[in-house]
Amino acid sequence: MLEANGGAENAGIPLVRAEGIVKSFPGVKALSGVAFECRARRVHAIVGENGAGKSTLAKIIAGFYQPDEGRMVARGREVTFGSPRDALTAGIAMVYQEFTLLPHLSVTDNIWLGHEPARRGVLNDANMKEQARDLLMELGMADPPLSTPARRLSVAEQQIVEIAKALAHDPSLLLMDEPSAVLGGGELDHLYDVITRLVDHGVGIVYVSHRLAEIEALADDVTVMRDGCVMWAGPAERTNRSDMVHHMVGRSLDETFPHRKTEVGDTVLEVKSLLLPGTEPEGISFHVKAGEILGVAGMVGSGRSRLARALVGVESTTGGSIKINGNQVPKSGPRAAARNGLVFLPEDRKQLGLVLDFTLAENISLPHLGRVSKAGVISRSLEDRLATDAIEELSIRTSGPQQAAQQLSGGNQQKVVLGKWLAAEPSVFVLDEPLRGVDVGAKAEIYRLIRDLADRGTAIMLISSELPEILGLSDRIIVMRDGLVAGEVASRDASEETILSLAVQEKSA
Amino acid sequence: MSNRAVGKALPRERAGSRLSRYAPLVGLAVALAAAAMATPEFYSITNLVNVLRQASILGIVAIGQTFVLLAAGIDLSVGGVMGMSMIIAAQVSGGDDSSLVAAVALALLMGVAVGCVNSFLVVKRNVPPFVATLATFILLEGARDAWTRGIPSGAIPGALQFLGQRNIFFVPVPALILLVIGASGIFTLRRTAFGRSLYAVGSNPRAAYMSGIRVGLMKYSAYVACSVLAAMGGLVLSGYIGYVDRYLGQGFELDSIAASVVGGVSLAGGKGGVGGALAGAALLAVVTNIVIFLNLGESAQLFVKGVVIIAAVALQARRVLTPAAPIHQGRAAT
Repeated sequence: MLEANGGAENAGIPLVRAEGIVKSFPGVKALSGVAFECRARRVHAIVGENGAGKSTLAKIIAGFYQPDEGRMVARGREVTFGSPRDALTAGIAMVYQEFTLLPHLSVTDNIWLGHEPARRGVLNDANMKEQARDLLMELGMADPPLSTPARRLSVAEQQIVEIAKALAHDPSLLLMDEPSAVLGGGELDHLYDVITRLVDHGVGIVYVSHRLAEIEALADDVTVMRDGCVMWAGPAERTNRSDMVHHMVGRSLDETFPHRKTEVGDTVLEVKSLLLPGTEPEGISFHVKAGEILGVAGMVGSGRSRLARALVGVESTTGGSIKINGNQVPKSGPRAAARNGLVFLPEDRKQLGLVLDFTLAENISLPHLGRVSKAGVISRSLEDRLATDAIEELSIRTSGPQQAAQQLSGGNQQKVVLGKWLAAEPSVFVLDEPLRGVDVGAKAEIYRLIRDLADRGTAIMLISSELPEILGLSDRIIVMRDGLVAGEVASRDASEETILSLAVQEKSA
Repeated sequence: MSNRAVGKALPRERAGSRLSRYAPLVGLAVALAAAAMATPEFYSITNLVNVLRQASILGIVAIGQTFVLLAAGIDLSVGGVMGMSMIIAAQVSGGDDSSLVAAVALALLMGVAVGCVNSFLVVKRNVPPFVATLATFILLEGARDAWTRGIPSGAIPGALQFLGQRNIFFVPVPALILLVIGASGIFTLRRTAFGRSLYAVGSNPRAAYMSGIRVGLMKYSAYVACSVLAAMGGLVLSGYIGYVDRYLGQGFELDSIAASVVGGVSLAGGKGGVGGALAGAALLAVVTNIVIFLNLGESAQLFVKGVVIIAAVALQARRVLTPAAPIHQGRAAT
């Protein structure tokens, strides 16, 4: 880390400059001639839709990818990074969007992996733990679980450890790829504090994000990318949110939420005293009516996702009942839930939602193999029709039903998961963070899809960390805290403040 | 729609690329060409029929192994199952055709039982497949030695010898058996809901489960199919050899895995197919045969086999590491 006494002459020196960067992957040009520069003491935000090339650019600077063309200069010297290790040696560290922790290693060992502070080859355990604890506490972890294996951490905790791991390298330039995607409000505040402190110490930050609010608050410089090109670059004070959106999508976006068309009907989903382990004895009770969107808010770790998973029988429960139209739903797993009209769009699209090796059609038909086959033999035409219907209904941008799921952009992948469950014609659709990692353009479409679905009489449960989404889409909102329902508000009476105060209230003794 | 040109559709088979799809066939062609140069005797009718017979027996076992590998498992017990099935055939029938049906039924039943034990350990007890099937392998070896006291008695009934040794118009009977099993295997994997579910389970078990696929049932079916095919392979092999001893079936676990992997079946599950595994089995049989003709001895056989497997696996691994590029929708719209 550069010392604070570097003073004014340190301010503003370019830590890294990239010129004419070109990078192609099989079948697609990810970057076509991109220039980029990040200076010391500045936060430089890279924004753009998914697939715009922002992660690729960051990964090239961090040495993860090698550019096909172009040159890079780090602190006045031309450099070629063959691997992330070369970049680390040059003081450039990166927090990747994909998690890179080794699941069986402890938090401490993960943080020091590859650059363990050793004396004559012998690890200094106490020293490693102490420095790891300091880093994690700076990032807002009150009691860092230093010896816990990484696989036992929550997603938010893993993200914090990833950041600590990058900081442990003492970088002069730190790249962060969507670090806020999985963090809740409190953790974000700590992250912003740390960024401010690093900048004060002379570090340059490259911050990749598609959350424009956070860019406005954090960034000194902004680069807007689209289709592998830089559309706009300059100081943050010379742009604003609508300009950025305009550059990102090439058109202005109506960011308002669609309005409901029909009245809500009878109660469809009724949950009574559902007991998640650790939440006894009260349990969770709520209901959702036909055509209603129930928003579920709460901090990361408040039990929202556990509740959703419990509804489809993936998370174990110790009691309580789930009824759909008065019929008991067995808690034996997603298969039984789907048969009773309850389907679930999981938070982790790539791990749980899709089989990435499968084609679009194969993904959509997966829960409906019985329906598209005759005597156990799959009918190609029935399967293709199911997929074509979904492509049309959800306007999935694809070359056709036979395109591989992994070739689709994030937003279109999410539409495939939606389409797969829409084909089940569910009575209740539980959506866990349906808009995470979805680009701005596709977001508006998915908002409308969710609304349409409700207007057709489906009962919807919408879990989201984005309060504007919850407020804009829901008819009614329940707020969770510590695995229980902390309160319920009608959407028209709710504001971000009322929801937050319910979500963070101190536990009463 | 104006975006037809974007993104090539994957081939129906779950092979990663055209190269890996045809690699086993190319390898086979190379081996056949090498045979022509090194050992012209290879191309005698008698030898070709012989190689085909050996490849067919390995092929039957490799198909079962492929089912298990597709479900992200591995079955090390197939050699043990083959050995046990031969001994059942010999001991129960005592070489007499009249009790053949009982002997065959018993051998196949033993296959079902072993498959159930394997999958019970893997699915219900969460034992890693490598460990579970290694344990049943050892159990089978022990059971066989305890039963026969190390010296199997009895004889192979004549009807089985017909299955193993005869030809119909120069086509060995084992190849005909393989043709039937192979065709049904390919059909099952490519066209049926069961096959699709199996690929889903191997590619992403968690997403498959979330989609309502009965993951456990798929694994049970794969292990049972594998053990039953191994039992059948054992019966055909015993008919081919014409006698039993305690070494028969040895090495088939590794050979069947090698044939599948050389044929493009991924050890990580969800990729490859029966066609590739059969090409792999043929390649291994041809290579082994050439080495025998060259009089290089058993150790050289293993060595050459090792080289072929390493080459195949290296080709596969390269494919896995190539990053899959996302297609950007903005591009797709133009």
